[in-house]
Amino acid sequence: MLLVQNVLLKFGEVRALDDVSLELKKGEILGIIGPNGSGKTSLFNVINGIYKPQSGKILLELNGEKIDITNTPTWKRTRYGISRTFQNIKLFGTLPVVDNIILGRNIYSDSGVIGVLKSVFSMDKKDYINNRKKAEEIIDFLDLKPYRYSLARDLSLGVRKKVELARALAQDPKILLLDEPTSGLTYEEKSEFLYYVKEINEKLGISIIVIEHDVKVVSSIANRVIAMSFGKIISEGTPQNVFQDPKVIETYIGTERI
Amino acid sequence: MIKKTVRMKTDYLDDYRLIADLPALVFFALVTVVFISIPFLFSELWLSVITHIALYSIAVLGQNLLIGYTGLISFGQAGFLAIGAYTFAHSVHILGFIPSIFISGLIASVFGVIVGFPSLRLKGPYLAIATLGFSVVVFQVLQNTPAISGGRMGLSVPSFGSKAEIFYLVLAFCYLFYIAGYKIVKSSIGKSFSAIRDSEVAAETLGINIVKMKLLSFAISSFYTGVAGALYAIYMKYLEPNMFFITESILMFSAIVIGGIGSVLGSILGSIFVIAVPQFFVGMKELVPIIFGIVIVLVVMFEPLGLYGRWIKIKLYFMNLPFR
Ligand SMILES: Nc1ncnc2c1ncn2[C@@H]1O[C@H](COP(=O)(O)OP(=O)(O)O)[C@@H](O)[C@H]1O
Ligand SMILES: [Mg+2]
Repeated sequence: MLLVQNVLLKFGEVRALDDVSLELKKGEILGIIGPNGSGKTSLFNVINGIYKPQSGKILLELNGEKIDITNTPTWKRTRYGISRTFQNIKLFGTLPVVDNIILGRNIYSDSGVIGVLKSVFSMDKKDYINNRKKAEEIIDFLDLKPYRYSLARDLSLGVRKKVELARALAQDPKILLLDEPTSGLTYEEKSEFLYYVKEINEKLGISIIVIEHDVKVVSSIANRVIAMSFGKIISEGTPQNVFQDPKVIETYIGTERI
Repeated sequence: MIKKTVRMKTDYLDDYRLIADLPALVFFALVTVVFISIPFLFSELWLSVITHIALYSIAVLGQNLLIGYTGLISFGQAGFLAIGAYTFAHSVHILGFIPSIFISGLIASVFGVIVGFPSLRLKGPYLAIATLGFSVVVFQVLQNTPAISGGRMGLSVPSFGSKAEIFYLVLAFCYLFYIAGYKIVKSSIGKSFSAIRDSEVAAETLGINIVKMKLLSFAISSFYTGVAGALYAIYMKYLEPNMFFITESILMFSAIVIGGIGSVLGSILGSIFVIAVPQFFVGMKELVPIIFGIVIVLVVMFEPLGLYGRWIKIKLYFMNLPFR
């Protein structure tokens, strides 16, 4: 589905990603763990196109075809079915929830001058109805109905995280990247969120990479886990194997309990 | 929140339509009747002021799309207004009134795209300075090119008709451009503009081509401003470079801030404010900039959504009246 090959990403002397290679298989949930600053978010930014790696490749495998997207701009990668959420939630704060989610559908509407003319002459009605229907389906699915017309900036952390997930889902993605989706959530919010992640994976067939600190969370949802430290992948395998790997335990000593 | 207190939504199309129900339609019709009667209700002086407000509000709405909705702080307004006005004054002899108005918008929007290029690299105050530079350049070119500006004599513009006829022309364009403005704002394009303003990274991640949309925003806004410039030429019947000094950019920016950043209705309120207020201080013109300055400071401090925000609060207050 998605291949990251020998990626090197440097910020000055800091190697945020140091010869990182990994594969996301179709239909799986891949967990990524690692202490703060180990390069997890940078990995997403490289997959997503926000950062350009100094070397290495990002490949997509769609319908048996391999597409090199290393130099594809971020907005185009979305059209290949990559969507994501952010560690420090990036919603459109001044817009209502429903508009935030509909914006996830913008790749299915005309942009540019044609889009302007269509909207001026009310020729975008069909698109609007389709996009709105899709958005409402997701709103129902994620139980966001009470917040439809609230401004995104006025919501609690838990709801904002859900809205961001809703917006990502609205794109009809093939690959979903979740950056610490449950950090800061209460126990109840966490289990609700994990339930949705599983549903998205199983019912919608979306392949997921999830960055997650909570060992219990990772073990319960991930089919496979990759552990990172200082920009390098230090361990890879089933959750049990990775959490028992001495190298992983060593990097976590003093930072987190396993 | 506001919408819910008004009434329950029955249909997704309620959010799409400009006029969603019968009361809104009745209101729209009444307002239109009032607008059409304006030449019969007001003196010539006030008819003239109202015409000025109306044409000005087209430019303000255009710039609000750029500044308020897309979040690109720009001071190119004087330049675009001038390009629209002078394009009109020259092309009207060849193409006639109505086509020339649209051509003026088109030429201004071409310049809008050119000026928009720095916006892809420059942010915040740097973009503001670059676009202010554009207005200065346009002004200088006009001052030093008699072939365009008509030299010391200025440039006269053929008469369109009586004051009332000019008012109706401007009113028709107002309707056209405000309805279009509302449609754009509600469309996926308009939402993309606001998305860019709120978070560029998130917008791009959702597949929005930031480069294209910023240029598009410049093109639309300068189209509006160019059309307003053409109407201004018709209204003034005479053009000279001084009418397009960079203070015009600042005045229009004030209209946006005072009326309401990112609000269609606010664009009208802001235009009323900056054009009508000076009328009350004819004898004390020096006071006007001071008044604007104080109002802007007050708005930024107490009502960041401008007059429009104030209006919403008043409206809500009255709607909830029995419960207070
Ligand atoms: N935009 C940036 N500029 C400079 N350094 C960065 C930038 N983004 C990340 N880094 C550095 O790269 C390293 C990895 O960061 P990050 O990917 O955010 O880690 P994680 O998500 O695992 O906590 C850190 O040392 C961080 O300081
Ligand atoms: Mg991170």
